[in-house]
Amino acid sequence: METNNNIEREIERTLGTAKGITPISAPVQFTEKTMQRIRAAKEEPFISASVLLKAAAVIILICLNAYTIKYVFESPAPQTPMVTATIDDLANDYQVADVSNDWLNNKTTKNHE
Amino acid sequence: MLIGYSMPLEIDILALKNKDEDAFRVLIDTFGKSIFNLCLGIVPIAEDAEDISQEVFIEAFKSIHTFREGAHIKTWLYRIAINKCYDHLKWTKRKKRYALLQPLFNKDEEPIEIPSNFQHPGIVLENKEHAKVLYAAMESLPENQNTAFVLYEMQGMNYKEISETMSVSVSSVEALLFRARAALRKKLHTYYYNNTSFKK
Repeated sequence: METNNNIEREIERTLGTAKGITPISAPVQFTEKTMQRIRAAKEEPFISASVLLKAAAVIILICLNAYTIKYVFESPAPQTPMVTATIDDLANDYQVADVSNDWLNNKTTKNHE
Repeated sequence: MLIGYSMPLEIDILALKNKDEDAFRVLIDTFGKSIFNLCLGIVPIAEDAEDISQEVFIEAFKSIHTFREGAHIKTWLYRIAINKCYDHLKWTKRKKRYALLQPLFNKDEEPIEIPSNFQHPGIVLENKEHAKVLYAAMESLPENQNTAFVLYEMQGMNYKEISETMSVSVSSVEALLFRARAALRKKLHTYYYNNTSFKK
């Protein structure tokens, strides 16, 4: 109970400090310092160098992206080369020494029979 | 033509729009103190608050063309200041380790973290410790609740002024303040309950 009362008292005192804040004068030379900063701001270019640099970087990135997309969509699809393989190529690939068209034809005929 | 703290509307808006340096000097002289105190209310580090306050006037200089005639210049400056303060807080929070993981957890469950660099010159020494705890608790509030709390409790603005500054209705301001106080109470209760000095 006593603890609760203590807590309530502390809360009231803490909230009360808000009302007890004395307004203080502006810092020394406040007007002069602010005017100097205003004059400096006046002389600043409308767009600062860092902003220009950021803008340039963004534009370059956008251009690169656009070019990449354009390149992907406009370039023709890669065509597979026409393969005209002969029986000799097949023989070479499988390294079969004695194969010929006659042999192949015989083999096919036999299978049909 | 010009000014006084009590007559902010007499600031020469046309001269400001023409980027007249004297007009801006007058603007800073008139509102420098209140903007600085507002910034201190949200960012309780004097150097940071000064820096943010200067940025507020630089921003005002750059975007004065967007200021609508007939609007209150003070309200406009306050809005810029509030945005700048929260930008600053977000930036400093980002620098903290594990900041990325913070949104994953419920804010209500986060313990109060007392800032080590707290240095609000408007707080008397005997209130400093309590003020530190209060600011730490305020950090966990949503931005709009925190803003309403700072404007009402610290800046002494009334509901109508707050509603104009925050562009919300008066009833919304009431609701925001109610929720802010409730959340702060809950947070502070947890903090003081866990504080060893109360444990028997």
